[in-house]
Amino acid sequence: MMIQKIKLLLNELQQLLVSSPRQELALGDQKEYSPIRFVRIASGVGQTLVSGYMEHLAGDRKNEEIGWLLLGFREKDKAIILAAIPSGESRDASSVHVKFNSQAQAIAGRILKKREKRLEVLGLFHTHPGKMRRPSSGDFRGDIEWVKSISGRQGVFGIGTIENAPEIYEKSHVANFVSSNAFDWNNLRFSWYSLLQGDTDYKNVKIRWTLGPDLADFLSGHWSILEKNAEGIERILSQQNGSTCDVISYQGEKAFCLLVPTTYPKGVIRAFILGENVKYFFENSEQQFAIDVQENNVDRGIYLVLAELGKK
Amino acid sequence: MDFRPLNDEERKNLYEALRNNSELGKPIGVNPKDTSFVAGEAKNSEQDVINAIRSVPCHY
Repeated sequence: MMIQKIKLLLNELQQLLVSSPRQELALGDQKEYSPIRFVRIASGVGQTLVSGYMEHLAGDRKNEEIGWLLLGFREKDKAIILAAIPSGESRDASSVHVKFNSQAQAIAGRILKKREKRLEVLGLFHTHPGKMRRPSSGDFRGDIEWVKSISGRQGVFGIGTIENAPEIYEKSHVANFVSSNAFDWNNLRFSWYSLLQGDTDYKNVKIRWTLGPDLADFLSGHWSILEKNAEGIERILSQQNGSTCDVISYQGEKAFCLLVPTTYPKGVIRAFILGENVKYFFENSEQQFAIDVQENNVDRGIYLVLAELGKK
Repeated sequence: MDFRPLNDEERKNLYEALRNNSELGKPIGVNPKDTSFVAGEAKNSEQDVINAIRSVPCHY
């Protein structure tokens, strides 16, 4: 009996020692992953990337790179992209680089994650100014470290390029597959790759479409408000236990709602960020109050209310 | 600092905003039955997402 058990343990040990790095990575995760065989892109996300890239090229910063962070579901051997979070107006970008506004993206990520618990970061899409359809060596140096923080230790990376001048391109109203890992929309090409921890280069990844929304679409039109208030919102979310944020409709207007529970007195502060203004409310088990705080920096306003509550 | 009890119209607007949010399946710390506050819990998986977002490298 004992000998059999020792044999079994030795077998298990041997399997661990000879297993490939990919298998070892999967063992380290809560879920088991295989390398990604294909990526499904929700139609809404495809629309966001196409229209966002086109709008960017029509704008003042058209010569800069731009990008979107991609969230979705990571399943055993595939990824499903369901949300594209913009890099933001406050991104740091030039014709040869783009660094996303991660502070605003982090809040968007928190809201999305609260709405759909299964969402994970899958990778990102960014553009290149020329026709270089593959991620650059500079991209690789950053991404090969970054993928360690992604589920399955593997990321999905899209590259956008301009293939031809618009005037010489026959206009199409639909996306066309040009290879298993790329599609064109008129003169724009969208090429897709994966990168797994330990890889020496990106690999082409097959893409497929699926019907579905861009789950981050509710933020469109409100991104500038989020970016303007991101620092204050993040300060509250990280410092006030139990605080949370979402986008709600208040009197027909979209508002970022920041909610902070209080212990003494027991209740909750709600701050509605509406464009330039912030409205504050307090609610206990018996009554709701409008709070007269002339402070449009939401973190300062919340702390002023907390200080006032402390006197009560 | 003035804590003024909400009047009926203001209370209606606040409840409406919170209830709509809750009925859309996106409750923000709200009990959908009476809009009272329900504490949320911090999730490790949320922190993983935030960490991944914050560590996105520069792209070239």
